[in-house]
Amino acid sequence: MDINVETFYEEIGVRIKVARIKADIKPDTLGDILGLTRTSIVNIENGRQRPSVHLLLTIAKIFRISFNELLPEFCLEHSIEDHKVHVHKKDIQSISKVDNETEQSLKEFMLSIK
Amino acid sequence: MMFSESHKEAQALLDKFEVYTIPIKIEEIAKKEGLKVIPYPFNEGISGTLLINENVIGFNQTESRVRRRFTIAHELGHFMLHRNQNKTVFLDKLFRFNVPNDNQNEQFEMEANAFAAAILMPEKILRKEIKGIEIDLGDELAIKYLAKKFDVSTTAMYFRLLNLKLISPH
Repeated sequence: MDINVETFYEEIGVRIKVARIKADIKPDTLGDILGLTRTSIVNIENGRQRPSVHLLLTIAKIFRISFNELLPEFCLEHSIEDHKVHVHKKDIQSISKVDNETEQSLKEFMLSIK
Repeated sequence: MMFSESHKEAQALLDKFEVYTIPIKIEEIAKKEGLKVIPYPFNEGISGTLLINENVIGFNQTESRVRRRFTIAHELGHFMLHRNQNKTVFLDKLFRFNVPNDNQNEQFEMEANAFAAAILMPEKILRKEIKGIEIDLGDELAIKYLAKKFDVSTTAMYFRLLNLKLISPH
């Protein structure tokens, strides 16, 4: 199975962000709890920094979710591509241009309702 | 008339659920139409979204109450008017009232806005409310008073009154 490591950590990051937003906790606050800086939290959420398994377990505990919920689905049984939230720009009706940040925010919302 | 279809659809929905009182319970109407209405802290600038395949309206919870109501009404408008148009995601970044309809996108947005205005400020109820108040409608205070009663923004009320030719532009 071909796993793209970068995509893997990006997917984890998005899941952490979604869990954090659902819990209504700011990056600074999560950082304080974990003994990390706000920048670290943001980097982890963007997939630029790779969280340790221990950190992931702690995060799952803080948000009262199962560890699995923070992992991309292919770890469990399927390929990551099947479970990514796909949004094709051509399917989006919008009055103004859809930039990457907007697209990311939309994807996070779509993930949060799954 | 340009947006008669939007207005007709909005009125039809109000009739269907026998809504005769203001402020219009827009979230309730959307839910009765089978949509899930979900608050979310979207990035700044995103007011809301309609996901056709999921039957979901997402609205930006960080925006003001009147704005959130308008967003839900606007997305419901897309659902009623445009759900069979090959688009699966409707994304609304900002509302503009006076945009030229030079392409289909803008046409859709304007139709959804017209729907939102018509459902949040139903013509019949609005005319009745105006009869009840004995003030000059050119008066900003009167518009504010009406906006408050309908739980919409003063701007939205101003444009609605303008479109119904109940006031003339300043």
